[in-house]
Amino acid sequence: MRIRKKILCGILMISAAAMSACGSTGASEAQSSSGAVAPTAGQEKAETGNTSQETTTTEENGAASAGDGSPVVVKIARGGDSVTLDPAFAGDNVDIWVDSLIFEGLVKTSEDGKSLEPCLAEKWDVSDDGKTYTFTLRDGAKFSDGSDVRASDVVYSLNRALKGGSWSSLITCIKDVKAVDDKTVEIDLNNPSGSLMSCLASFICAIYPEKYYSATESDKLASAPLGAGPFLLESWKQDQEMVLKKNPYYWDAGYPLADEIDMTVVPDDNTRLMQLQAGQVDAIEGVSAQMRTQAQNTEGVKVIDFPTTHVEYVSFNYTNEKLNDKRVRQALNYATDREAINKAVFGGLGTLCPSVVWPTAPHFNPNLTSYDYNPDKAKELLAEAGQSNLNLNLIISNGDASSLMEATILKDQWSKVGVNLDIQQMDSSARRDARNNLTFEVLLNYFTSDITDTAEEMELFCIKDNFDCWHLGWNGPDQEKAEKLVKEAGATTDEDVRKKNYYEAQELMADNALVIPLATIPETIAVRDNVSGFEQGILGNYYFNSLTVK
Amino acid sequence: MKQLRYILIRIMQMIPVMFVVTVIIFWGIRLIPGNPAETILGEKAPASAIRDMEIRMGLDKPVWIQYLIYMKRLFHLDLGISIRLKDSVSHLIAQRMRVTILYTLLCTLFTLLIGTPLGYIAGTTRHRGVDKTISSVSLVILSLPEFWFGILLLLLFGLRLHWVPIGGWGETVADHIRCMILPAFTGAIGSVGILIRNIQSAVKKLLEKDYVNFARSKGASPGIIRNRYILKNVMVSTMTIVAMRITSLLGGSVVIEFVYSLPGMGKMLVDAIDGRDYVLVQGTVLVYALVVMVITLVTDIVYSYIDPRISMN
Repeated sequence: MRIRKKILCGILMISAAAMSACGSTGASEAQSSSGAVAPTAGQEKAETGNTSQETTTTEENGAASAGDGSPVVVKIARGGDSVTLDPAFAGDNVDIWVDSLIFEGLVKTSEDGKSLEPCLAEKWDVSDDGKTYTFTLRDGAKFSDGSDVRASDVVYSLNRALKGGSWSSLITCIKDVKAVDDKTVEIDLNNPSGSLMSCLASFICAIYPEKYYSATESDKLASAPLGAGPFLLESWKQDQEMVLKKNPYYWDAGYPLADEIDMTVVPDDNTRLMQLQAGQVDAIEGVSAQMRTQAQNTEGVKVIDFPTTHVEYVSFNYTNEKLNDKRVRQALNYATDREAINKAVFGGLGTLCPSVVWPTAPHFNPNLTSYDYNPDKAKELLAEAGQSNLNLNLIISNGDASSLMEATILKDQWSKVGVNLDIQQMDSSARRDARNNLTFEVLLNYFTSDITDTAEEMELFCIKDNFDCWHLGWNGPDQEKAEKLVKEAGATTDEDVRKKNYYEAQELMADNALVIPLATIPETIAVRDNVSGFEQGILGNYYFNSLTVK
Repeated sequence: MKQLRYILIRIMQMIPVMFVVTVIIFWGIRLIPGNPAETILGEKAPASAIRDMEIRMGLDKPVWIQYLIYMKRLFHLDLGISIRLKDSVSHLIAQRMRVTILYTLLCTLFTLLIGTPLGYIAGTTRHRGVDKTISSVSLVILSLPEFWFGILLLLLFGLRLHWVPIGGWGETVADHIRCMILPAFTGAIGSVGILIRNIQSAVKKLLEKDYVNFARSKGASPGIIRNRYILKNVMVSTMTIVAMRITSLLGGSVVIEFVYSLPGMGKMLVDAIDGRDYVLVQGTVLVYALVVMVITLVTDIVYSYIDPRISMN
C-alpha cells in the first residue's frame, strides 16, 4: 500500500510539473504578444516561435531602422552540422562554407567566381619566369582577436597547409614561403602554376595567427578557429547551434552588416521549411526539388538558386572485367535518359553536361561527344561486346532519398537494354571504402570543386596517383596520355597550352565513357522576403558581408 | 537482508555481462568496413595524411593492443575523446542524456495518462460500440508512422497555431519542456496502442476471476474493486510493457530526434556509427548497456513489491 501511494505521489508530481510548464507557456505567449519581453537572446528565440510573422517583422524592422544599436541577427537553418572548422582538415561543404566566413586568404574569388580580388594582400607581383610571387599585406588587416596579420602568419599557415594538411596535393607546386619583412611575403614555386592563385583564394590557403595555432592542440582547433574573416565563432553546440559574431577588427570597414549569424541544425527537410514559413528562421539551406515548389508558394518566402560546380555522375569501375570494355560503358551511357532523371530527381533544375567538368569552368570543353539517349544503339554495343545479359551492382548511400530515386530510374532505364541492376544501399563509410578500394561495379557519385580553376578536377580524374583517377581505376594508354597532358598543363601559366591540354584530356575521358555525367545542379536556398545579401559563390562559399534582415 | 543480497548478486552479475559487451562492441565496430581517419580528413585527403592521422589515433597498432589500451582507460572510468566531435565521450553522453531522459519521462507519462484510463474503460465497458472503437483506434494509432505523425503535429501546433516552437531544444528548462511536448506525444502514440490492448485484455480476464466475483458479492464498493483487485493486478503486466518501453526510449528515438531536431542519444549514436567514431560508439553502447541492466533490476525489485507472489530469488 505504501508503495502504491509513493507511485501515485510521483505521478502527481510529474503531472503537476507538466501543468506548471503548460502554464508558463501560456504566460510567455501573452507577454510576447504584448511585446513586454526584454529582447534577450534566449527569449527572442522563444518569441519568434510564438508571435505571428507580422509581429516579428515589424519588431525587427523597428530595431534595424531605429539604429538604436540593437543587433541585426540572421537565423539560418541548415541540414547538417560542421565537423571541423580547421581549414587544414575541413573536408565537407558544411565545414568549408563556414570556414569561408571565419577565414580569409591572401586573395579572394569574386562573387561571380570569374576573377580574383585583393583580400588580406593588397597587391602582388609575379616574376617573369612565373616562379616567384610577392604579396604585400594590407595595412590594417587584423585577426578577430585584434592582432595584426603579419608575414610570419602567412608563412606559418601556408606551411601548415602544405605539410600535413588534407589538401596539400593541390599546392605541391609551392617550394618555399618566406617573410621578406613584416608586410611582405614571397612564395617560391617549383614550377609555374596556372592554378596557384585560385588555390590561394580558397579555404585551403586560409591565413590564421601563428601564435594561437602553434600553441593550441590540433584537436581543439577543430572547434575553436581564429581567422581574419568577417565573422568569428562565438559559440558552438554540436548538432544544435553555431553562433557567429561580427569580427570587430574586420579590415573592410562597415562590413559585415549583420552583427550575428545563428546557424541551427535542423536535419529534417520538412521541419526546416516549416521553420522558415513560420518565421522562426530567416533562411534555410538545402532546399530539395521536392520542397522547392512548396517554398515558392509560401507568401513572404523567396527561393534562390545559386550555380555551383556540383556535377552528379555515375562511376564505373574500370578495373572490373565487365566494365573494362569501352563499348559496355558507352552502351550504358546511351541507355541512360538523363533528361528524365533531371526532371524526376532534380525537378528539371539541373543542366545536362557532357563531362564531370562543370559548364562554367574556365577550361570546359563544350565540343565533347555526348551520349544522347539511344537504347537501340546501347543494345547494339552490348551485343557487340558480348554482354547482352549484363548483371551489375549499384552502390548508393543509405538514407539518401534522391540517390535512391536516381538508382531506381537507372534500374528501369537499363532494364530496357537488357541490363539488370541490383541496387545496394550502404552507409556512407562502407560506400566510401568500396569506392576507394575499387571493389564496386557501379556507384552514384558527385564532385564539387574547391577552386575556381579546372586544375583540381582534371588532376584528380586523370592522374593515377591521385586516388586511382578519382576512384575510377582508369589505366592504359589513354589514361597515360591524359595524365601527361594534365601534368603539362599544371606546370605552365600559358593559357593556350592549358586550354588545349585540358580540352584534349576531357575528350579522352569522354571517348572512354569513364562515367555517365548526369547533370550539374544548383544550390537552392530559401529566405524570408526581408532578408537581403544572402549570396553563395560558385564554390558554395558564403558571401555574407552584405547579409542583413530588414 | 535477503533483498539486499539479491540486489548485490544481480549487480555482481552485471560485471561479466559488461565485459562481454565491451568485447562485442569493440570488435564489432571494427569489423564493418570504413576508416575513421578518412572520415575526419575528408574525401580528398592524401594517403600520407590519412596514415599520419591513423598513427595519431593509435589505429596502426594491432587490434588486441588497442583493446587492452581501451580496457585500461575504462578501468580509470575514462571513456575517451570522440573522434569526430573532439569532445569527451562522458561529457557528450551527459549532454545528450538530458534530452533523452526528459523525452523518456514525458513520453512514459503521456502513455500512462492516455493508455490506462482508455484500456480500463475498454475492458470494463458493457457497451460493445465503445469497446470496439477503442480497440480499433488503438490498432490504427499503433501503426501510424512516427515521422508522418510528427510532421502533422508540427504543422498544426507549430505552424498554424504557434503554440510550440517548430523543432529545436531551447535554452531554459521551460523551453526544453515546451519543445518536448510534441515529440513525447508522438512517441507516446506508438506505445499507447500496445498499452490499451494489454490493459483491456487483462481487465477482461480479471473481471471473470473468482476473487473479484467474491469481493463483489461480499458488497465491496466498485472503487475498491477497481483499485485493489483489478488495477493492482493489471499493474504487473503494465510494468513489463512500460519498463521495456523505457529502455527502448532511453536508447533514443532516431526518427523523432530527426523530425523535431532534438540533440538526443539516438541521432548521436547513428551519426557516430556512420562516421566510424569508434570511441563514441563504444562509450555510448556501454553506457546504454549499463542503463538497460539497471532498469531491468529496478523493474524486478518493483515487481516484488507490487506482487508479493513474485519473490526475489
